[in-house]
Amino acid sequence: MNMNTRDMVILSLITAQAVVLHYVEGFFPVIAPGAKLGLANIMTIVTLYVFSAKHAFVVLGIRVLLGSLLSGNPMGILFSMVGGILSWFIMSILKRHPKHFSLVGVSTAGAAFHNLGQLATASIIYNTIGIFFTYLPILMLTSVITGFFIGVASHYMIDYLEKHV
Amino acid sequence: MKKLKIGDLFIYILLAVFASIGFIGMKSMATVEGERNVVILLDGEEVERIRLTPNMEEKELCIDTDNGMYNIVSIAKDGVRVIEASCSDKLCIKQGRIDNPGQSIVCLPNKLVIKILGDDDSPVDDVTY
Repeated sequence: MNMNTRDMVILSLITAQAVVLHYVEGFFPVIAPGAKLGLANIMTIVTLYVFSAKHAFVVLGIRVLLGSLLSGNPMGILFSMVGGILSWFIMSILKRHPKHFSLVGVSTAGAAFHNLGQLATASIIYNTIGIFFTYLPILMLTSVITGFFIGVASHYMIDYLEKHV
Repeated sequence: MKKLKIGDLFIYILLAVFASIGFIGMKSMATVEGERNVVILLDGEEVERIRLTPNMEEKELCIDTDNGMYNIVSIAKDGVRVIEASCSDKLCIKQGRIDNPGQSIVCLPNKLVIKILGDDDSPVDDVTY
């Protein structure tokens, strides 16, 4: 991953912002376990579009590690990592077909697969398939809503970055 | 950019499918989790085990002990209770109806214990993220 100083600075800023968003998100009340706004996902999407999938993966990894440690929730590393990687995986595939998938669509799919990964991890760790089914409908619904807003927010940020930076 | 594209529709449909899988899974889980067994123990030994089902008829069981004492137990879909007993304190009747796994009725004079057991004991009480 060769990059010049400019890219490195921008990526560092993006990663720092992602860590802060990850941390701040912990203060929001949740309507269901695992249902989050996914603010930090903005940064993953921005990196994915402005840089590449590889860069996005690194930003994601550092963000999850630092963010979870910062919020004093080491168990969260596992949940966020599984969800994050699954979400990154699906988003980097969909992103390759910009004709068929809009930014909002990519972000919605990312949100949904993040939740799926987290939910699957939780049901494996706690050994109950019940919570998987119980929370699936509500998490899919919240994914559509948060995915839309995160997609729109990412759109503005990508727009700005491409014009001004 | 702002317009929804054809693939986005596909994503929404996929999510709807996931959600329905959740609903269907929930329904099928609910019947499994709702299974309850009534176990009647006399002096520590199991004498009766009956599954509580949502559409069962109410039935009355007479549990006799060796020394001519008895308890009449009513088992119905909404729970179990003792309706008549030969014991002196009648505490078993006063304990009323039980319907949740883990609850029990005890009649000390007759050494009778009625318990409700769930089919699967959930390993966790609560999960926080």
